[in-house]
Amino acid sequence: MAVVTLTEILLLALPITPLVGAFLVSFFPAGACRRIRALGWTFAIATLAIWVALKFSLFSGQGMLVSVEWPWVQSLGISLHFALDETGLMMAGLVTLISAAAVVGTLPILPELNRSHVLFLLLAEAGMLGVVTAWDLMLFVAFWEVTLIPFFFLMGRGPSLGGVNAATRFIVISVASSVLMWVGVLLVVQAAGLPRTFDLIELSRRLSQNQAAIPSAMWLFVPAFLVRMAAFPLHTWFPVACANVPNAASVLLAGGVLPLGGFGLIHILGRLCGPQLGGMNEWLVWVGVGTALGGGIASMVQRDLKRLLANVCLSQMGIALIGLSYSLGTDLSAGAMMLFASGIAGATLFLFAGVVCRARGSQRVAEISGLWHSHPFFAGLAFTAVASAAAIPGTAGFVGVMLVLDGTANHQVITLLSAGAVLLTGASVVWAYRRILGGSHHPAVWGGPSWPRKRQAVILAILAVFILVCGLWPGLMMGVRS
Amino acid sequence: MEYLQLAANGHWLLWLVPFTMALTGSGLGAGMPRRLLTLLALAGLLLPFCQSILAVLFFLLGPAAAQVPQLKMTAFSLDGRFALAFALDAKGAWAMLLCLTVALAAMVHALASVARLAGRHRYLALILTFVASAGFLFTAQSPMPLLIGWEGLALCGAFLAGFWEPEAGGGRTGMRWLIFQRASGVLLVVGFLSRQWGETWTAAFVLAALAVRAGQLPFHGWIPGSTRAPASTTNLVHGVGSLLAATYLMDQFWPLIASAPYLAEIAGFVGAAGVSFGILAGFQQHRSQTVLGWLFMVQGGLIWMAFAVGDPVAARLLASSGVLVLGGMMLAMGDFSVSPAALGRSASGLGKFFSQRGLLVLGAAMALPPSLNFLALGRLCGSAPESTLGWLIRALTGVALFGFGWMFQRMEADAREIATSVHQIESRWPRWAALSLGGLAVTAGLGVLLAHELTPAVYGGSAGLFWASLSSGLAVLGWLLGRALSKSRPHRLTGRLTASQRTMDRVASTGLGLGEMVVQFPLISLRLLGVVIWRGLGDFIIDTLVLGTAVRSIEGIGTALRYLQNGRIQRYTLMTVLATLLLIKWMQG
Repeated sequence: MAVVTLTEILLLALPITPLVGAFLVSFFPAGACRRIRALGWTFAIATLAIWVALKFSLFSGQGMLVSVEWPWVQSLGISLHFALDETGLMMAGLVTLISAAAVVGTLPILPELNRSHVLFLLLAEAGMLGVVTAWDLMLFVAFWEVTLIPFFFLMGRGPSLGGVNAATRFIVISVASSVLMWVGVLLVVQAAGLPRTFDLIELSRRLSQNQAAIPSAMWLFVPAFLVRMAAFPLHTWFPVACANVPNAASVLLAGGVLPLGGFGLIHILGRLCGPQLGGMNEWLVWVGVGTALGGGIASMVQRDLKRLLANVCLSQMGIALIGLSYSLGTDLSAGAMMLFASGIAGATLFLFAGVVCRARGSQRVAEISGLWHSHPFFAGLAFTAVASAAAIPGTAGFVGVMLVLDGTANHQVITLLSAGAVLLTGASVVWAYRRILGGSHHPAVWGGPSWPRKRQAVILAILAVFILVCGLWPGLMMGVRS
Repeated sequence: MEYLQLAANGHWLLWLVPFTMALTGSGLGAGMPRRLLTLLALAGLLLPFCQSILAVLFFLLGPAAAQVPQLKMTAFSLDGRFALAFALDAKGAWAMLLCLTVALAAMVHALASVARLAGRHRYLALILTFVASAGFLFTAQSPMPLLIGWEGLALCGAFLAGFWEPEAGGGRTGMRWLIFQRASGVLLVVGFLSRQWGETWTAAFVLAALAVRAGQLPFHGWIPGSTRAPASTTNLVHGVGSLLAATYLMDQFWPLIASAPYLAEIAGFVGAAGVSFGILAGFQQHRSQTVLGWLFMVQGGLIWMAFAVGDPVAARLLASSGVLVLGGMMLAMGDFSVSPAALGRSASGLGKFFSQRGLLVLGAAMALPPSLNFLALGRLCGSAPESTLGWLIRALTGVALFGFGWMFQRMEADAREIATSVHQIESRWPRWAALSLGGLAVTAGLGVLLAHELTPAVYGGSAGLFWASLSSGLAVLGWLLGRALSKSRPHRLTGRLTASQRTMDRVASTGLGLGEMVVQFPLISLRLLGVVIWRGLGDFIIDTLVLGTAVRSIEGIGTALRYLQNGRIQRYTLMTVLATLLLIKWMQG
């Protein structure tokens, strides 16, 4: 029997820990709010700690960092293959971080929903970590689909019917695109020949010898990833969802679901096709440009804070898509860093917006003011995320944008359009922040004197530190010591 | 010399000390006694101020090729692409000293103005952060700290400008500055990235970024709005954030810009246009701070022309005098914009001292010998070539000084009216802070002359002396003419303007319409496009037409299937077939 090392145990523990947490939470009575919350915090933070341990043990590694594989359905060639490379490790960090932020920093709409709130958050985290660590195509698709379930329930519990509508729309579009992906999976596996396998490394090896079969099948994967990335023209579910769903869901959507769409592109298309994408790159670049510019321009006309932030996230995803498209099959660091930066900034912004809007009882930018006078520390922490979204130097967002623009420097039009999108997005988000920061503070119209809670400020501080550290020492997150 | 070198070697303290003090003041300032907070704020500037004086002396008196060790942090910087490298050279030391001088004056003014207001510690911390950002910019040796400094100045300026704005202001003060400077930052980044396209592209993008920052044509739309901020902010934003930062970076990048075809000439003509435009716009203003905002644009235009004729020393002298004298005037004319109720007493105006004597010192420092500006204008006119651009420069120098004289007289009259209508600031320190800036400009000019033993080259030779003296004379003439005319037509404040004057005021405030057009045209177009994208494309076409139609089609198929399962369709089909058969039978029969 092969000896399992500590890093392999940690790798397996990554998706399993939140799953165990969710399982245990389901046994508690719904009224045991404190115990449920404590359990949720413990498992979410434990998962983050596992990722930190993995990061330290695998730092500066190249290629495949850790891998565990067991056969599952041998007759069909399906295996339980979990692994992590540099990109996967970075995305796992993002998922564990924003999940911990969502579990600790957000509250359910009603206190009696506490159990299901924590349960679905942990399930969503487990699903997302499964997507990140799965190196078997069938396993990947299974986790990809399973993730939808907790999200559907998290999104549908908003204060209005809009949440239900948004959740339904998200599910319908996702499932429709997933059907195409299933067909794509079957075509790819068939093209790879016998004996049948779903293992990504083996598929990649075989397909490199039969490039002719790849491009047509690969197009079937693209809609599923673009829907999750909310790329143009499949983006309409995202602003509606963010404006109507509970805060926890919007944090996870902006920080987890969107970047995971991009990760899907890296993980499946990048690995299976390599550099020969048969014209797909050019097509995806223009989709990215459209998303970046469209999000930036649309954010300028928003007066609802959450819609504005949603469009800012869209624009950032567009920039990430441009970076990914240029680097698919070659150097993935630019797109991956942009995904990480936009994920962490998006989650922080939605966490901040959720707290502020809930306390104020309104999402309109014009009706929120005076944070500079009432909660300077809390608002100051949120500024790091604003700066990152606006690509201000010294933040993670700047590093991501610089790497992407550097990659596009051979194509002047793309570079200029991308820079224009960065400018518009930055102007919108800074305008909104400056607006809610200044002006007079009216204590009477705010929800209560105790907001934000201390733990929300602590979470925001941790996210802010991540944004700054990644901005000043990007090699730390990307595993490059230089 | 060892001590001087030590001061230069510790260049990282120039940004670290203000930044640390800013963090301390912001975090702990709320519970601090007022005197301790004042001490903290002043210490955050005085220590680097003294250090920068020693550093400047080191570069002046030290060996010709004096260098200081670089502080470089390359760990985890992705092969040095995001490295943080700092060092100090002579230009950086000069810029830092100027910045700290002006910031000290602004801080003294701010301490007196906001001493009793809640949230003062954060305002002072923002000023310190502004200075730390300037420190980053002036000591940067790699793109990363340079960009951090560049954006930091813009952001701190915007937050300072809107800090005391009441809610009725709608968060507008400083917003245009912020959005324009965001564009400037992005242009600079694109400039750095465009090396692969050729040096001309890089130079063009950098020049555009500098034009936006310096408020040169046609990117001057932010100027009128940002003059509505408190005096201590406008002084910093226009003096350090705009004029000094743009001049410093232009100085650093000038070899690149000058080597690109046509860009030096373009810079010269943009500067000339800025001078003409600034004078025209300033003439129509009835508010002293806005006049000063346009005068900063004029000074920026003169600096660009100095670069265009290949005299960066004249550009540095012009920048120094602009930052010191116009900054001093900003402080002197500053009317604290917090509502009197919030202040707890009447808003401050100018004392008799300024309105009658102090302001004259500042005016003289701008136009008369041996001020820095006089030397700079002499150098500029002396080095201007015998070409169209050269004669344009000489003519515009005269026009600029004539216009300054006239506008200065009006500002003086305005100050007199304010001084008699509102109370004075309780402390006398702010007056001395502003006055000392003007005094410094004169003393520095005299010092430069004496240090070079009155060598004609310092003031541009005999031709330079002639043109500078002529400009000074025109300034005095403008002042006298304005004074004579104002006696026959009393000065009017904004509230009592006639309709035509209000129209002219509006036209001038918007940069004769051009500045507003540059702002409004893209803004309105983008907003329209945004509505089209959001409502038209997203909501209507994608959601309603495409997705809605798809959903309705599926619903239709589902309904048909349900009817099929219910047996309704079969019955309907049977009935139809039977009816058709009966009809055929009937027709046959």
